[in-house]
Order: sequence, then structure tokens, then C-alpha cells
Amino acid sequence: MKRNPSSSRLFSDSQKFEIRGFYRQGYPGGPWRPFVRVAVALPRFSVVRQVDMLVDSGADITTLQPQDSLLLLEEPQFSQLGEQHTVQGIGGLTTFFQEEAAIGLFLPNKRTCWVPIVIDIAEPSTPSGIPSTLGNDIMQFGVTSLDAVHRTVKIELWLPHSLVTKS
Amino acid sequence: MSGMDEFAQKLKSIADQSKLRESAVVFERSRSFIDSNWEKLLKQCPNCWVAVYKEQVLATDKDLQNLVRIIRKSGVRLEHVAVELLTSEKKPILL
Repeated sequence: MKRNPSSSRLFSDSQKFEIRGFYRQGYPGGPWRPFVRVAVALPRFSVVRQVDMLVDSGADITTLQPQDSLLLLEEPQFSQLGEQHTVQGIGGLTTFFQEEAAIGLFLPNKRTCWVPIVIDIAEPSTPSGIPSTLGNDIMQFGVTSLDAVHRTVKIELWLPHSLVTKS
Repeated sequence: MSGMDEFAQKLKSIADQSKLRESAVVFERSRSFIDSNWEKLLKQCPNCWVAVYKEQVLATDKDLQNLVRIIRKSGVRLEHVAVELLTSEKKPILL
């Protein structure tokens, strides 16, 4: 782990973590889209799973779509999620439930760095096929590099309070 | 113990119980199978949700919630399963 050379006060006492992503086509012959593979943990329900998240630098929030949330939670548990609210997207308003979560970044040597967030879980009854998304609530902590030519994705985060587990 | 320590312990416990890092290897196999066989799977069941465990198609269904019920009944560990919508609609997305 390295110290950020930036003189920014925000980053002055933070640790750097880096993960790599990938590009994937939405359908054969379709456009290539940037993804990262992370772990999503919902501590209140004691569940975790890997999720491939579309890197969405225009989004304020990180979201979990039904194809991922339904494998984390059983259907009755959706009624136990936190506050329901609507989020404005390009396509209109969508209903989400807020829930305390942690995004796990896979590091070498079986370590995982966890970033606590409040995640937005889409209402599961009308799945659209849109991928779960990684938003600026995570990316605000660092630098996101998308190289569409070489189809590489790199996210560097400088975290002031890092939570690293080893398993 | 601080709240942060408790949170870290809870996360470690969840990750250990689910064997998160071991699951990563199996999940990668499941996901790679979808990516490598997308067109074949699409021909078999267009506009369906597909669930794959390792190199095996567990189920396909037009309804995602039905698909997940089938996965849960199969007894396969959910962390190992990759799910994707096989769509022939070439719609760009704008989030």
C-alpha cells in the first residue's frame, strides 16, 4: 500500500488501493462497456456475493439490479430493506431501496478492502437487464481510468479509513 | 471495540462463511461460460434469463424471479452462479 503523493488534504493520510476491471460487450457485436468485479456485502442480512458492476462515472450512487440482488436476498427480505425512494435516470424515475452495504475490492494475497456505502437496490419485480452500477459514491475516493482502446479499466482509491480483511 | 472494528469483524465473518475468495474461482468459470457461449445460448433461448453454474446451464426462464426460484431449489451455492439476460435487442443503454 502506498501513500498518495497528492498534496490534497483529503488524501494526505490515506492508503491507496487499486483494482483492475475489464470491458465486456452487452451483446454480440454490441458496444464494449467498462466493468469491475467486486464483492457486495449486506451486513444486516449476513450475505455477500460477487457482482460485475458497470462503471458509471455519471451516477451519484452505486446500484444493485435484480439479477444480482435476487441472488443475495430471498424475496421476503426485500420488504425488510431500508428506505424506499425514487432515483432520476435518463429513462425516468426508478424505485430503489437503500441499504447499508460494503463494496469489497479484491486485493492480492486473498485480502479484500471494504468500502462502506449505502447501496441502492432496485425494486426486483421488473428487471430490465441493465447491469448493476458502480457510481461516484465509490469513485469519488480516487482516480478511474478507462482505456477503451486497450479495453482496460483501473480504479485507484485513496481511503482514509481502510477496512481490509484476509480470508 | 469501535463501531468500525465491529463492522470489519462482521464483514470478515460473512466473507469467511461464504468462502468468498474460493467462490471467486467458480463464479469466474460460470461467467466465462456465458461470455464464450453467448450466441449459442441466445439461439437456444432468445430473450431469456440464463443461470450458469461452472460450464453447466442450470436453467433458463423468461421471468427472472422464476429463474432464481429454480436456482435456489437446485441446491447449488448461489455465490457460484452467474445470471445474464440473453437479449437479441441491440439497444444501447443510457443510464
